[in-house]
Amino acid sequence: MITSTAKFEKDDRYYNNALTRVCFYTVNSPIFNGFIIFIIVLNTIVLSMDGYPPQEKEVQQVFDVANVVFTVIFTAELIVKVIGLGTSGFLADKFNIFDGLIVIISLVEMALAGDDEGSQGGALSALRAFRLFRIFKIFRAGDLRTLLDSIAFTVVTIKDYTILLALFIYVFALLGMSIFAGKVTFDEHGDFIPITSAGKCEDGKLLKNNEDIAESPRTNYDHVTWAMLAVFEIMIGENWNGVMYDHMRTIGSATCVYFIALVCMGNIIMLNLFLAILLGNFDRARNFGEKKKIFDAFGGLNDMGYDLLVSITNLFDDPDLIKYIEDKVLSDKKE
Amino acid sequence: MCPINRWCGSLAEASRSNDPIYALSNELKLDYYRDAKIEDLNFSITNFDNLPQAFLTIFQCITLEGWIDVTNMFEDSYTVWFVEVYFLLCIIVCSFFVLNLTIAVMLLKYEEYDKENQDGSEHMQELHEYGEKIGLPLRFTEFLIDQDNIQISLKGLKVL
Repeated sequence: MITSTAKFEKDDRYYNNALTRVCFYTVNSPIFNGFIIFIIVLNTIVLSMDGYPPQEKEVQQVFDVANVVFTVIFTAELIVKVIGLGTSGFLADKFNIFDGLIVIISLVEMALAGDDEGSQGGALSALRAFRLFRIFKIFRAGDLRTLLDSIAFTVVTIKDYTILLALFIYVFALLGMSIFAGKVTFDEHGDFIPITSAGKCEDGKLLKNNEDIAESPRTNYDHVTWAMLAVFEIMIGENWNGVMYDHMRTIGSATCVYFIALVCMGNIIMLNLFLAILLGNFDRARNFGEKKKIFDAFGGLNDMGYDLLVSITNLFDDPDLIKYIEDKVLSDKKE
Repeated sequence: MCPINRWCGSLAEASRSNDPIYALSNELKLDYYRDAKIEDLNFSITNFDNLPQAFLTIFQCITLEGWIDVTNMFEDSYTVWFVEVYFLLCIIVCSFFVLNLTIAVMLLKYEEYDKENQDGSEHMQELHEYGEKIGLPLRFTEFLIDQDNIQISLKGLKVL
């Protein structure tokens, strides 16, 4: 949904309320926004001070107090925004919803960490790290916003590719399992143990303590989860030849066909398809953002009561283009 | 000591050397298929002994995975300058050019195919609905959507 920027109409009943008016001006003031960005950066610095071994107790206490102060400030900011912009105006910006979620997570963490003072909140203090995402707020203006929008645009449109990739990995994992599962094992010296289809060793000496010494390599096809990991690893191209050698030594030279096919289709085609989608989407996101701005501009003109047909020709500065638009694009008005 | 102009220490070198530091165990030395058991020699898989194996060696080098090991191996067992030139040519021609050209063709084809299907995408649909909502003429909405490169600034709209 395209939502034009939240408008605060003068005849709105909220506007007559002194508290709302103060909040509205506070939200729009550059000092307030600068202060919030300063707090976000400070919060990032304080969070980065954490480490192992832990800081001295006095220092740690300062950080704990700082964290509570940050949570209180962010909560206050949220309340001021909700009052100042109104609920619908607040929800219109996706960043506000994100900020709200961060504040709720922080409050939950603070409430739960208060119960057990000694354990420092444990896993729940990890939720504190979510506040780091607020640093994206700095990106709200300028080209970085476009970049962030492109990433969001791509993530949304990439779902078909993700399904295809998952299916591809699954198919190759099952194919690999049907060929390799349980057959690729090595002893403690790194020599492979030939195992017959019945699961017994061909070599009589190894047979009696086969189960003790036979080990699958880390990248194996013994179970579907490991197989999928192996396929992913080979697809990325990391040490795929080493995995291939292991399997060629144990099963036979012909297994290299499987690995070559996987590298060709996975690495060269699938991963570059991702690149293609990313590049295409980046272009498209920028294009879409620019067009949205134009439509927003026309929407604004329409709201202010201008005649759109007059505005259209006035907005272009190229005379040939204006003629083209008048003749071809807007000609249905003349007919 | 290692002679000048040679790189020592690899197992290919060691098998020829009389130096006890590099000497392999007697058991391994007598084994005819010794190389196939040595990890540093890639289990004797990467060589040019026959066409399929040569193909595999070259393919591995093109994917840039472990190619320097293969190169070093052949440098130790053959003329250094020739192996260097051969593998560098292989990397530059096959990997940099041929493989990346394949990728370029893929990107191009994808973009072509993508452009054909772009009109029906939900984002373009969204723009259509938005144009209808604010009362823009339908043809002008379509004109705006069709433009690949259109910019808005304080001076007005500009088609690049």
